[in-house]
Amino acid sequence: MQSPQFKFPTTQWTVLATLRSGSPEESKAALEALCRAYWFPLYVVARKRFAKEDAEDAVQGFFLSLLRREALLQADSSRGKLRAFFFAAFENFCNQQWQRENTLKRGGQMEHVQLYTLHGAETRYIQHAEGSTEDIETLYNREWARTVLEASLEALSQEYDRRGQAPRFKMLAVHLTEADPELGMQAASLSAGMTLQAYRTALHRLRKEYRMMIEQELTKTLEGTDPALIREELHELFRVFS
Amino acid sequence: MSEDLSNLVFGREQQLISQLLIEDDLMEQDGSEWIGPYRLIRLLGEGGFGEVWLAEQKEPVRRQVALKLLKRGMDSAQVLARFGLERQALASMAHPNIAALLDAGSAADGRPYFVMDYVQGCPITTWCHEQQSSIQEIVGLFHQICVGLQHAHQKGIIHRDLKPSNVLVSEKDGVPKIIDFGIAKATGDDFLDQPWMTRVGHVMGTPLYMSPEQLAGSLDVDTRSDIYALGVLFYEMLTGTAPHEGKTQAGASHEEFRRIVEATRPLRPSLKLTELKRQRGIVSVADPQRRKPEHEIPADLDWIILKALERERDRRYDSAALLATDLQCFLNAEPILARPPSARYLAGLWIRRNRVFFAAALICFVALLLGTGLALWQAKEARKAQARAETAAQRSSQAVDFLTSMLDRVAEQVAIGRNPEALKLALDGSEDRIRQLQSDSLLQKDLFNRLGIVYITMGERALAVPMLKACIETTAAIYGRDSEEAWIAELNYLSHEMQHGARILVPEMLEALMKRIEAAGKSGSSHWFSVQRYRVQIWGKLRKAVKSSQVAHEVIQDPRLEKMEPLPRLMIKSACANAFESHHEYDLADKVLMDCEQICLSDPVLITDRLPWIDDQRLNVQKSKGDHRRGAELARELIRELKVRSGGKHAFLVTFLLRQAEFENALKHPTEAIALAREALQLAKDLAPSPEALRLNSKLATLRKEQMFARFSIADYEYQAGHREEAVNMSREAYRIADEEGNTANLAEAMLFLAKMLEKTGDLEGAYHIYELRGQRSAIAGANYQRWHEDLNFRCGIRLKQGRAQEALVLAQELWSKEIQSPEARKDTEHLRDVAAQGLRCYEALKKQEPQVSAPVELVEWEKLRKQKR
Repeated sequence: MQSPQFKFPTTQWTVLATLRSGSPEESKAALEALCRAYWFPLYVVARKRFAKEDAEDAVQGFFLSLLRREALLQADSSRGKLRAFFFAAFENFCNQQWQRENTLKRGGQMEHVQLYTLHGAETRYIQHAEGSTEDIETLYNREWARTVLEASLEALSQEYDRRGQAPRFKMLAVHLTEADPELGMQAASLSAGMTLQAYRTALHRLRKEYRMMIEQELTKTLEGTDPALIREELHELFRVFS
Repeated sequence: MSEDLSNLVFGREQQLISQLLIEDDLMEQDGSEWIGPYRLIRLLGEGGFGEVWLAEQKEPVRRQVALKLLKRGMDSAQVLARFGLERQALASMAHPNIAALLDAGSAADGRPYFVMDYVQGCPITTWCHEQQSSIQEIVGLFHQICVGLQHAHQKGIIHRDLKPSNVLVSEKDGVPKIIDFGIAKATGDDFLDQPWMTRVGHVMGTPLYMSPEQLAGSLDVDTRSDIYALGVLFYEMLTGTAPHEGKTQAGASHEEFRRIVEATRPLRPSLKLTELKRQRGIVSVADPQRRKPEHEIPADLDWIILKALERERDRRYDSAALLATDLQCFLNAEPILARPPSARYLAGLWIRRNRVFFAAALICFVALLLGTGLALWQAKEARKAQARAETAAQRSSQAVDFLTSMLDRVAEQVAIGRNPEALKLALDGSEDRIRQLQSDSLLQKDLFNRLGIVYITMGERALAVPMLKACIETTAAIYGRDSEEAWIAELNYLSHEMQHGARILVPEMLEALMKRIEAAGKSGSSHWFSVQRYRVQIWGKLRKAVKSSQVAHEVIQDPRLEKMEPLPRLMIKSACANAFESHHEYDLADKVLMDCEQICLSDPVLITDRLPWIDDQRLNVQKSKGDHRRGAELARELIRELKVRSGGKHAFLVTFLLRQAEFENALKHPTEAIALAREALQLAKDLAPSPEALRLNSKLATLRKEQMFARFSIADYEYQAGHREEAVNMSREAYRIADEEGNTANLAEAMLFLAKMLEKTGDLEGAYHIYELRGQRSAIAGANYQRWHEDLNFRCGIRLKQGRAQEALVLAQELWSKEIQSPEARKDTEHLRDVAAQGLRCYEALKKQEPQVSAPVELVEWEKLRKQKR
């Protein structure tokens, strides 16, 4: 992401509310926030249906339609998770409106609004989803989960940077994904000039912090901060990849 | 997002999250990541049951294990108690294709856990997909699983939850291993209360791999339930999709899924693959649907899988070993045991279900003939008389060819499960199109006739009659109303009307036709005699035995009869004998039949084709007469003669033996009766062609029906001799053989017989179940009206007998509501009265039990019907 420090003021549901009733400037900012969170996942969905350019246009068109508040009328925070809402709304958009708008565009009537566009979407698509036979919702959920994991990790990295501990982050982060973190830890601690126990504690702390970042990220898409709900979301993240 | 971090995440998402989850609620009080003596390393998977962890065991040996931690809410004590029961058996399993279960216990928070060998690998379906395994490789892998499962079954362990995630292929050596033995049993039905699918892509306890009996919630799960699951697994390995996958929406209840499994036959794997290829324009490289053409699924594998996937477990492989043997045969290119359901059976099923499409296919057939007809007509113009003969020959041979190939195609269509509603409209124009074909009225006539016959085959009598009538008109237009050709057409129409249609009108029409034939000076011709034969038969069918016999007397005394050709003479005399038998003139009937025998003996074709039928008719006369002694003697005689003539290898020997048994039984010689019936059964088995022969030549008589009847007889006699268990067993056997044959009519008969036998021997619940099953199976096969009525009625009767009046009443109400929806039944007041009487009986019984019970809404109607009777 281009500006990872960007933090949503509150939850993304609130962002939606802003879109719905805020001033044009506020709306634009809110929309950008949503774009950041959902561009990649939606692009995967679009790309499974359309060619590269059309997929880009579809996602763009979708966010524009959000700006015009068409889809938002149906958004209702009591009806489940925001990501499910986006998935359904986008599918709907692809089925109906996109076709219509596409026709309009060919007639040259669509005003082209340059929105926030994420670069590298196609590369990600090729890397993550192109060869997969999974159903489209699974791919979407995965891409979303990945975005959450990456954004949180990026935020964590910035946090260590801010503390002046960038090298430490770099050293420890590789263990986050190790199959058995105990393995190789001895050697790593030696080369870092730390005792094994100190190294273990440092890693433990990093993990805790990372988890907090993810929870923060997840909180944005949930109503409320009930720990049980967040834990369930975390498990959900895991399942998405099974 | 920096590239580095992105790379750190991609492909390792699960490990990343699992590390975080370790920090989560799994931590025991001391903050370390231990469960019992096992150190958790990382989360391997998660599902509705709980979580699977990679863990490390330190004592007594240091090794990696898989630890399955069940979710909260399970009764730990109960789970472990159930597990304890099987523990010893589980411990005795040692097989390279089974991951051993090592330990079980409960975590600090009370959750039960199981520890087993860690298999570093992926689900077998994923493996096949990723490796792009060839058919041979897949069969090889699957064969190993069968062998492993057989080992477990021999130790008395049923898996109960076989599915891809429980059959892993080791990354190290490519050996498949079954995991999770004993867990499904230990966790029992704790899962049954759970919703089946929670969200897309996340399935807990997927019903896809469950056998129908498990889906039905039956507690009686045996090794054959595992066989079913293996079938599903194999299906998926080969096609990339489970047989009933995609037929339900996410969130569908398990009940819905059960209905789908009950109501639909899985598509043959090879066809499924073809369909999938067709459906998906773009497929990824690793797709099984992208396999090279030489990797298409051979038919033998289709049958092996379908046999494993039979809805009723008696029809599946009895054991994993048998399945393995069949696979080995396949690998060695030897004949396999499994075989396709007969094309006729499938075609019959299909025609019943898709009458419209069948008719539409006929239009294609007609269209094809139109084209040919035109060409042939031109040829006829050129070659005059000679061409006419040629046309006729070609016309008929092409029509026959086309019909045959169409039936084959129909069977294929059945297997694919086509539902071509779109062709519905094509049906309407068919008659008009033939009518437009005035240039070749001969062909026109032929087509009307054939279309009529096909409609009759389809059970569409209402459509058939106009066709046959049109055929008469066309023929009359060509040759004149009183030409022989027109008479033949008319006789053809009348014979069908007599068998299926408005019988009551037939005698008058026959009289009219007879007069016209006589007026044309053709009295005593073969057509005239055909009319006479029909007259004898129609009166018999209308249950006017006196009238029928009267006509028969006239005919038989006609001196011109003796000048007829042997075959028509035989048919006429046989019809007369039938009439005499119905009129209790047994000796006359026997005498006429002996004449018939003589006719048969004078003609080599008739000896083989017709004589046994005549002889059987003779035996029937003795039976009707009640002269069992003479009947038994005659049967003995006929058996001796037929044995000499056929060298002991004639299907009718079975029939005669059963007849003799029947007579002996009536003579109170039960031992002889049983012995004879058993001899008949053995003979039927010996004469029955092997499954292999049947596959090669579908025209062979299967003798399954004879075997079924032999078993009915044995069961009956055993029952009368007081051998109840034997009687029930025989009835079950009859059911099994009928099921094997696949003829729905026979199956229904066998099920009825079994149910009656169970009822007689006091197993009311068993009988009830069979009736229920029979009703379901008839529904699947598109049962006729009589059968579902029977089943409901019988079930109601049983509940009443059991004193479960409430349930009986509900069934009676269901029966009633169905009856009054059926136009056929509504017309039959007599029948409705019986149904109403049954309902009243139930209500009255219930009232006796619970005097306060409120009256059913149908009561008024029922009582009205009852009063009418008086």
